[in-house]
Amino acid sequence: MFKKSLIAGLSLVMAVTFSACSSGGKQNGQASGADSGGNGDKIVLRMSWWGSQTRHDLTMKALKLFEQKHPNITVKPEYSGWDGYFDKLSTQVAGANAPDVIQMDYAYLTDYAKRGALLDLDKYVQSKDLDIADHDKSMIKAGSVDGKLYAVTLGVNAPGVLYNSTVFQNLGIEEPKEDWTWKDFGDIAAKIAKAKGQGFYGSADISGTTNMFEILVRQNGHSLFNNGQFAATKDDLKQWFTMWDNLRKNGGATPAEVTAAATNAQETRPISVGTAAMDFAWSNQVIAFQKALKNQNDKIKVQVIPHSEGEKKIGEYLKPSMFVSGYAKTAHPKEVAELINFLVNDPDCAKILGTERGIPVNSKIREQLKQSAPEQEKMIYDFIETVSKHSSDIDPPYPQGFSELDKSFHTTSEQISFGQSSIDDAITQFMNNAKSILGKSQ
Amino acid sequence: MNAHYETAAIRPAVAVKKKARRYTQNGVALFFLAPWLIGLICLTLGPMIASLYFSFTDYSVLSAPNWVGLTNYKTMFTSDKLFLISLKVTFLYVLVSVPLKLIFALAVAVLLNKGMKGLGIYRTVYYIPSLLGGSVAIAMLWRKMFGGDGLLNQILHLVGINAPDWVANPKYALYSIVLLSVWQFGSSMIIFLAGLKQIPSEYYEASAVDGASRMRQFFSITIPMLSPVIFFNLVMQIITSFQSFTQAFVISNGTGGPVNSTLMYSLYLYKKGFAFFQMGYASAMAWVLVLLIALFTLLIFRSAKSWVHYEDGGK
Repeated sequence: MFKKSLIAGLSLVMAVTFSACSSGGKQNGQASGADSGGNGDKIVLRMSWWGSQTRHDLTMKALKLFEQKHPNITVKPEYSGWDGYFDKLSTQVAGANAPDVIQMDYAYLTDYAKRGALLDLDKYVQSKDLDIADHDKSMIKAGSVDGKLYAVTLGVNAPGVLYNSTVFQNLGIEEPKEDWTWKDFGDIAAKIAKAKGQGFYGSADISGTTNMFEILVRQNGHSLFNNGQFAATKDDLKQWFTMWDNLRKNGGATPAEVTAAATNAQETRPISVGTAAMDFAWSNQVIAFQKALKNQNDKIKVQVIPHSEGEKKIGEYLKPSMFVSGYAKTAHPKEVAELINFLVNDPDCAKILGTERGIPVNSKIREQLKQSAPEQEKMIYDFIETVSKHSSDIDPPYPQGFSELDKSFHTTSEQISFGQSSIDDAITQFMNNAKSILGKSQ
Repeated sequence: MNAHYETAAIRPAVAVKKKARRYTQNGVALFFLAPWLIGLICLTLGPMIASLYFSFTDYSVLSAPNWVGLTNYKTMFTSDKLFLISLKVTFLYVLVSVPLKLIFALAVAVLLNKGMKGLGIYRTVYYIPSLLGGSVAIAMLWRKMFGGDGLLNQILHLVGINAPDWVANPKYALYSIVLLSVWQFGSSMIIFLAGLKQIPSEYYEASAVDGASRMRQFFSITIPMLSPVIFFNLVMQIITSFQSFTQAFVISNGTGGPVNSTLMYSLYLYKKGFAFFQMGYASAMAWVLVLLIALFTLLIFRSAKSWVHYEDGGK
């Protein structure tokens, strides 16, 4: 008797545990399905994004509004900083339990779309669940891969130099103008360092940021990648790293240690903690930088990336700051489309989100928002307007293997700034790395 | 064994009964083992076999794996410079942190073994870092404490020393992680303490009568008597140190920087798999790590004969 009940008990334990083991494969369908079964007809969507605290607050507020307008849908937010966001997402996709709605980046869009991880949105454009009639054509194109729409632009932005205008005014230094050059930038940075004394630098050293280097490459008439291969020349690299090396020597840029101590999070940047007056960032980040500023009375302003003297073309460009995509295996594709539609087309939602993710892609919304925008947001509208007049087209998305190349570029800049390697040696090594990294992923 | 079978042949009826009882006993054992057994099969063995397969493929996580044979292993040892750097960083870390940690743990254990009052409290207090140390929060705290204007440098500044940023300088970053690991000496200490209590006090008394100094007693009695415990701690620490990940990940903000100075083997493995979409390569790295750890453990076991003393001769 004892034996029988024992075996029964054992097999029960086994059955329960094994079914728990095997549920991984169909978790995605099951998880959402179970939720909808549990609370009447309530549908649960998961949405993930990266960003600063400002973005988290605004997005949660917008999602609350969405839930009010769609009482049958609950949105579960999953947010984090930029660091690690795509590590996590790739794991979730591999485990087939990615969020239903995913904030996507230009650099990763092709990778994810081509590997079948993203929802084809064309069907929902046709069914009018998603309205893109008032969206900029160039941004629709940017969100399409192989002619299919996989991502809707959440905002338009452009790279720029953020500067603490209060520091400029206090030191009596003229604020940068739209036609400033790298030489002007260097002179200003050195001047600030000299005036402020030890421990304060002109600008954050961003020599390890690949997409800022790209702008110089574009000014030199090249592109960073061509046919999936690294296409910038040794001279481009040398010009870039030499310029930053000189800036580090005269205090124009932060020394290696200070640079290494900062991360991508706004709160850790030298301009925020009060050790530098300038930083390179994206126009939509102005507000987050302003909020992260140690001295809240200081004012952050933005200017275009400096020009090269005798540049072949303007390096500055307009970019979809980020996209929103659906997950290919979502159990509720129609609701996903509704949420995406809400995020980019709903006037009330636009009022909440403002320009934190960039200038809205919907031209009607843009007009409406600009009227009532506070001073700092107006500055961003003006900045984007300036850039849209004086810029060149964005280059195609980065090839597969970019993230590894990006790391290698960053290491190269550190090798130089920490004096572990001469500029020439570091460049030779980087070129070899680039060849093996990108060659492999072809 | 033979004897058992002989009796079984002579008295079959008893044997059958015994056999049945053995099955019941096995059943009970299996029942209680079930949670662990199922965990082992589903969560450890299954993924391990999968990763062995992936290690021979080109697997980007997002799309299906492609069989490539030994390519991953070849690349690792022939053309991947970062792989060699990560090996170097890890060896350096193990080489410095394990002995330091063991010496520190032993020193504290010897102090606590002096029969002081409130031993229980001290033992608990010293054990706490081991409980907290692996957490992300402590690593964040470390980053703050040893940062450019962190607590340590502010103290040093008071006495007029301008110290570098300990976590953002490639010369020191790894050692700040070593320090974090040494700080978690608690579990080794507890084991040492238990070992110390096992040493009969007669040895010390006898040697004291013979005029041995404290130092002499420590090296001629304590160390040899404690050698099986040292051996155990050494093996355990080496195995865990090779796999160290969290601290380096958090302190370097996931980059293994500055200039790859904290690019631990597991951190590089993680980056390859989850950030660079090369899960096949990462799986191959994981298996190389398994072999490496096995090799080192084997070497230590081999060396044990010459320095580990068992009172019963090791039988």
